[in-house]
Amino acid sequence: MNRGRGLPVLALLALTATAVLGESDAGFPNTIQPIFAKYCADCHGKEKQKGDIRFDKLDPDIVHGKDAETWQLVLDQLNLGDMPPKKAKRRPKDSERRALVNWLTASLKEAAELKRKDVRVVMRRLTKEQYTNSLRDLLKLDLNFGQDLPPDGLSVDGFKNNGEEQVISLLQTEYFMTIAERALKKAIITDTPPVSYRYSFKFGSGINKDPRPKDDRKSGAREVPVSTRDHTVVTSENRHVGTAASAFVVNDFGQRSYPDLRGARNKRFSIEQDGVLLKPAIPHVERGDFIWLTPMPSLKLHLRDFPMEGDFVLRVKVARADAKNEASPYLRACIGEWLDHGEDYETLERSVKVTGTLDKFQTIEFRGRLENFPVPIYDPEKKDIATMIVVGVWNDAMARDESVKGPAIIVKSMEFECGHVGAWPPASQKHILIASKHSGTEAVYSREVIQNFMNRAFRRPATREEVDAYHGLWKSLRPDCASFEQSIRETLVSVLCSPNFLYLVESPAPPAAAPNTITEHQLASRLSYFLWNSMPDDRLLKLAEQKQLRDKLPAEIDRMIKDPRSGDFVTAFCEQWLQMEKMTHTKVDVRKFPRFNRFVRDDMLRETRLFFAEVLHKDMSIMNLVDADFTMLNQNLAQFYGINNVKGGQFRKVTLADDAKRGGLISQGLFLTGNSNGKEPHPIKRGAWLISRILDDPPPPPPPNVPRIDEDDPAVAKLSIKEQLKRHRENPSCVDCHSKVDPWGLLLENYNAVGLWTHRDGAAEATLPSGKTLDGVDALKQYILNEKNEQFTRALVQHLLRYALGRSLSFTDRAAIDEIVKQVEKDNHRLQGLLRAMITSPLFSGK
Amino acid sequence: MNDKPWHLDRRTMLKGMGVCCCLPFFEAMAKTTGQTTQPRRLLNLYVGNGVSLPHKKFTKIRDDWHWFPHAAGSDYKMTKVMEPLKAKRDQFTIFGGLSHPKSRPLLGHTAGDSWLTGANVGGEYRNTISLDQVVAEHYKDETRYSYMNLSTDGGTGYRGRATTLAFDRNGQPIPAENDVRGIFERLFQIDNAKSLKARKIELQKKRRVVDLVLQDSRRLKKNLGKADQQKLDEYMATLRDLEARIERLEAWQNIPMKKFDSSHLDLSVTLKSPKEYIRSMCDLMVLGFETDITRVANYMLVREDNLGLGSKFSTVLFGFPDHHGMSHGKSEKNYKEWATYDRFLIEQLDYLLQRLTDAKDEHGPLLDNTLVFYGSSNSTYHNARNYPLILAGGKNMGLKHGRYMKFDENKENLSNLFVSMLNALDVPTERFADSKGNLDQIFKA
Repeated sequence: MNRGRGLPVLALLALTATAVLGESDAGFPNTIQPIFAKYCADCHGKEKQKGDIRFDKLDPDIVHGKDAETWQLVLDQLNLGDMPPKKAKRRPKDSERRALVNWLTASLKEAAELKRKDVRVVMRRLTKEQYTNSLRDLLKLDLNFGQDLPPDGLSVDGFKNNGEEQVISLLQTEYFMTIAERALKKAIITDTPPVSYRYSFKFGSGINKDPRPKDDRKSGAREVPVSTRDHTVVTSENRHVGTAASAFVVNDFGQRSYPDLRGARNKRFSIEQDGVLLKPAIPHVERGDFIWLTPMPSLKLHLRDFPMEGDFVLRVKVARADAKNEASPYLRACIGEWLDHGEDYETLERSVKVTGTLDKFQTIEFRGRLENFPVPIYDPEKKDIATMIVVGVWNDAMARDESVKGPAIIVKSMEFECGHVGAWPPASQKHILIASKHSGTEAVYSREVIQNFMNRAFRRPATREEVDAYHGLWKSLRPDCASFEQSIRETLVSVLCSPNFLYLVESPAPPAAAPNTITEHQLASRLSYFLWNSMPDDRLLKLAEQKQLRDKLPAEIDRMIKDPRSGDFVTAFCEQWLQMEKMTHTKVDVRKFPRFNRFVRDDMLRETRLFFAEVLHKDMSIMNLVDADFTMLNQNLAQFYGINNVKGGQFRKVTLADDAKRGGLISQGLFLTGNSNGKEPHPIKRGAWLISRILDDPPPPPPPNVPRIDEDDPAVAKLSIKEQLKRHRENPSCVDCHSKVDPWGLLLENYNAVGLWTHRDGAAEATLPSGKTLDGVDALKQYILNEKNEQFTRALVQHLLRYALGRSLSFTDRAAIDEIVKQVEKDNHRLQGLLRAMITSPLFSGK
Repeated sequence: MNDKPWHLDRRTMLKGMGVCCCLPFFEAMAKTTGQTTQPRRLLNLYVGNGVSLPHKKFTKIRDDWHWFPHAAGSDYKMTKVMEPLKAKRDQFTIFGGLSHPKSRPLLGHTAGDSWLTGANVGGEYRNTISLDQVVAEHYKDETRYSYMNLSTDGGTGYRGRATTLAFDRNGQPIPAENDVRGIFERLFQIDNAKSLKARKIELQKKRRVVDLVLQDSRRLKKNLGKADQQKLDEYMATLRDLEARIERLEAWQNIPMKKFDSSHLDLSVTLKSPKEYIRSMCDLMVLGFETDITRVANYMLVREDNLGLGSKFSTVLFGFPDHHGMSHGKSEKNYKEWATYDRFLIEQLDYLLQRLTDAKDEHGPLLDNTLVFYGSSNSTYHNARNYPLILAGGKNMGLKHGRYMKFDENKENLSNLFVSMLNALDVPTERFADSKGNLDQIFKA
């Protein structure tokens, strides 16, 4: 809500969105002008013009006239209560002041809307995520390449890809270059062959007949060692991957590797003959201070000698400890870094059902890439890894506390292989250094390689002139490079820094025709960055090449939604539309809510993403986003919400009981928590979020100089939010705006600061700006479904369009939007139908 | 890149003089530009594990050996710990009550990671850029190296137990160096022909890449509408900046090192003789300022906890328990020993300040244009509040000294002081980390 403060007046105007047109200027001569004449003319009239303002000369037609900026100043003064001054003889009555404020607010909003006709369509730079995903698809390496880039700013509409508002700095350009260098070093490997490392641990009571006297362990808080008698370690390496000599040979890393159950309580695990028995793990309780550990108990390998990058595979031999227990245990893994005061780790996405039995152990494999996990940093001064890597597993049938028994598992062995896993050379290399009959002739082959890479990076065929230029660079670099591979690598860095890669060029060369004309290749990019948040694949480029894409749009949309890459659309769009990232910033008071921890928060994020994905992939009505009879849960989040009988870490669709209070986005934990202050619900934040995100009717920004509620002020901190709110409303200059915002949030008062249901009669009753009084969240959802149905549809279409086009919408888009909304309604509000209507609209696919 | 004629002059001159440009070059340039280019410098010196604040029940020891003076103001009385600085009383200020709010709930040792950053390094560790790096970034084009980052233990350490004070813009630790000879050879003996040639080739290649991208951008621009052309111009401007930066780096390769006298520098020191080692590290930083190869230096003398080599100094020198061990002690004897060691560290600070006073450039003693920030992220045993801090030097930047300034931690964050320090260093700053204002009292008598 505070976003606009400090921007120039016109920018403030642009913040308001959908306007109600044509209702504001009628009453001017009869109702508005007399008020100004009565209270303001003395100082701002014919005689005096304090502050150079003279009301009888201001153009009352705010919308079309030239004085909108001045009127905005007038509104600010009224809102602040500064004018007329306190010492004035006459001051307007509240009702009069309110009439002025309402008239000004409505007119200015309308003016802003009109102003948007001038919205400029400007080519956009790839966002951080788009850049990362594009490198992933271009290099065939699933790494978070863009993580070091500075974050993208948000446009007034909340999106990161608005070309006009994107900025670029030297820092960013330097990063583009550094990242390109780093990425290509990983894609084209010159030091061959690579090395693979393997760490094999076996567990069982007394299985080591020749135990080491002592582990080479670091001492940290709450260590729980596995005795050297109860495990064996063998580590080995393969220095000839991909050659005839390929073989694993035992090395001495085992000397410095050991298993541990750090943080575990005795009752939750035991060392058995067949391995380590793990009962369902209990998540670490967030204390917000210095210790943080994996769920307990976790069986964790600690490795000190270790490659810092490359693929890994973790193989765990595991069984259910008790065949009679009907509940299913799950296994989950994590990779991270050992710290004195805890562990820093990331959980692997997959949670795998354990079906093995003591007679027949099951082997579960987890795969990934080390760079995507918080592995210890390499210490270049000491030429050593700064601390130890932790590779852990736990029983993911998570338990709330010690009293929960649940199904136990037995881990018999863990094997961790890393550095290089799989075929050699890697796909990334083969994809760049393509097979060719010219591969023996550097001068010819280099041109082929560069051209092939450029075509893919630029998402269109590179012109002859362009290829000449880049090949010319290669020629100049080659003499200073030790190998052909290196010279290619260094040349391709420049391709990845070219604006043809970094920007989505959509405008035609002047003096070409209408603004809606885009080429088939540009359409392919627009489509793929919309539905995949990444670059077009070979098929899309081929269709563009054959000029068939526009004709085959419906089939392609269908294919693209089914493709797993549509998950990147769901993540990026939901994140920006619903401000999800910001929602995770709330610092929850963990003393008040001890069961809230980062697992719960992360699962809340997943719930929302998966929920939207479910609506998309099952092609359901978008009204499910307002209210649904299901949501997406795993055991952890279900337990937090108080929903029983959801077992295991895997998310699945859960049908909600009638009184579950969890249907639709508004009822999801993420937004209820994100729009609280961590201690109490915050109706202003909730209300503002709801009307701007769900209804696309954002509140105007607060008038300038309104002091923020200083929550650090001890006098304020003592008051509950409701009391603060009440105090705020007592200020007449605040009440007008807040009566449009707060009621929406007050209807959610039965959810506490972390989104749990705490019903109190009458607590959630509020009167909406329309005059309608509602009670509680169910009534709110019904109201939106019945009476704001069209507004919600339009809101979602508009948010999607802004995201898809990378620009703000203007008055001139109105007709096309109306047409899309009409189609969506005809098609029973199905989400895929909506996307099809949008994409085939001239707004998106042009001519 | 920059509209200061200073840079252009230097480049133009270089082109004219080629590789043989002679030594008094910098002084000559400084003379022509006068006081306006008077360099401003920052030096941060960290000692982990807090300081001895003897318990109330040991009245005598507390009176004599308490690190903080017993009363604030300009007529404060130094305890025995501060006595080595007696002659420099008007050159420094002692601060009390300052700390980083986000680190207050943490185990004191962990707070070491946030000394110069003010970030949240507990729970979900999210470190941010450190004070020195903000200054280094600001002045990076003015000197050969943007910073010198030293620590007794070297490297980065690990999260929560860093062995470096410097963190980059993404909160990643920047490795520190600890080998005196190695640092000297790398930073000061740079005219080795072979490595010089390799560096030049690397820079040349990099410039070609940027040139090509610029050329490609110009080609693209011809085919764009007006609004897009403007957008592309923004990107091209950053490419030109990058090109200028590479040119500047290339220019540095052609400038020989300023002549200096390093006869006092003992390169053979090892950690077995702590006092000599610490002094050599200080000498290196002073030499770095003297030759103006950098404006920013850090030295983490003692890292947090018992893991570091610096923690052993107290045993090697005095036969006391190790530094971290002393910080856990509760006896009278222990407080006394710990304070004795604190005094030893203050003596080393005195040595550093003296060296910065003796070393002069055309603007006078280096100390007058240098901020020396000394201290810890623990007041005492595991307590990450009320950091013991000293700020010295900077007379020419308007700093007023000779006081013990005590603050209410509810009102002042340590980051407020950083804001004022940055402005003193001519790095215009309104906010740093969680600052809520500034501490401009340091400029007022």
